[in-house]
Amino acid sequence: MEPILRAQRLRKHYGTGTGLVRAVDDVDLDVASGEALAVVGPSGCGKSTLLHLLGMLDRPDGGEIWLGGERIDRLSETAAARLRRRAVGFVFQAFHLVDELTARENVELPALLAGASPRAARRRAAALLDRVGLAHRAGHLPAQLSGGQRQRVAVARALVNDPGLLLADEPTGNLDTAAAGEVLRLFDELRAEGRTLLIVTHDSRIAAAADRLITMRDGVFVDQTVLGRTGHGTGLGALSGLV
Amino acid sequence: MQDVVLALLAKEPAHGYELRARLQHALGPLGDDLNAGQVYVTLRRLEKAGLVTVRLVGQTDRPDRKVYELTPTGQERVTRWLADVDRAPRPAPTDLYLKLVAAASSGLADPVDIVDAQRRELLRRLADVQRAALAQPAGSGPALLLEGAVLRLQADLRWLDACAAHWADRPRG
Repeated sequence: MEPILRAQRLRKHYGTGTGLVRAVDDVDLDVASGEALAVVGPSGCGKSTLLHLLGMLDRPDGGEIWLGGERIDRLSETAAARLRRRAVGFVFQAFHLVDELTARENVELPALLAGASPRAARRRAAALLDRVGLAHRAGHLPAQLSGGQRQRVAVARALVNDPGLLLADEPTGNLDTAAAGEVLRLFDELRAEGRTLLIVTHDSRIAAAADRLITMRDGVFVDQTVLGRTGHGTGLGALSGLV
Repeated sequence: MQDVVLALLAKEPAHGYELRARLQHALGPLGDDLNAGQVYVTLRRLEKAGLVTVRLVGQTDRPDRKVYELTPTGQERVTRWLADVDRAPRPAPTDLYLKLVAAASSGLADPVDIVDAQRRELLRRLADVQRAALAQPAGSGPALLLEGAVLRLQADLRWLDACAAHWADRPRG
């Protein structure tokens, strides 16, 4: 099957001479439609840079990126911005919600920017806030929400234009265990719905919720783990050694 | 213990005292309980099993020293042990640590590769437990119980990351 996202010999270097950092160093990547992929690795391994390149937030020094069959690494700023709004949803570690807008207004915003009518935007925002379990918080400002709730609003916002690809950069990085659990549950539901997810994280827990996991070190992929889903394969025996 | 001693001999032949010193150096305070007897008992067993041979090296003014050396069978066993992934629900950190020390000192395997293999194993386990946890209603008792297993596996995985970082910086330390 044609991958929804493909990168070939993708490269991004910073600095020069002895200060040269090969943040992303000739990386090849295919993400299948409906796949949940996690990229893990120590701080500075290049995983965030990779996500920024794939999401057109940053430009590669070399290589190609294809999204839904379209080459996207050489688009103009305007074309990239337009495609980004329509085809890619972003979730960031620090939520990046607009403080002055309510939860609903935050979710509506990308829909309005993409040209949806105010009415359609409101309807979609309401449905998505309900989807992430926050219908009752729609009128609250971010400051009135918990960290887990803010991130769930950010996920709703990322989905408002129904993008084919959802990119998440350390989505649980600013959250305590309980809040991270809320976000984990939400991502697991999105995975089960068949959303294509690419999550960059050093939270092994959210990584373990993916279908496939890639370990990155010094700008290259060094390991891959396929976390097969063969039904409820976990017998009590396997669990009992752990609890 | 047998595997660790064998692996430490893979680099070069050594006598019991050296092996004990190297183990104690690697283990720090955890090696304080390691008495000389344990190392010698292990060496005798390995010798009986045909995994090491002993050579007597003469010393002036002291009794001859026994220098232990790996046999081909011993060599094979070390290689197998280094490639073997611990499938225990929660592998003991000391076991893995000594394996990494032995791999690095013998040069027979890259410690980072061993860590990667162990990480794959633990991640699969974490994925299994987490799936079971997510299948329970949020806030339920069983979900809380499974949360304990998830957090412990996470701790183990974080330690593996620390191991990888340690040996990535000094691949043959």
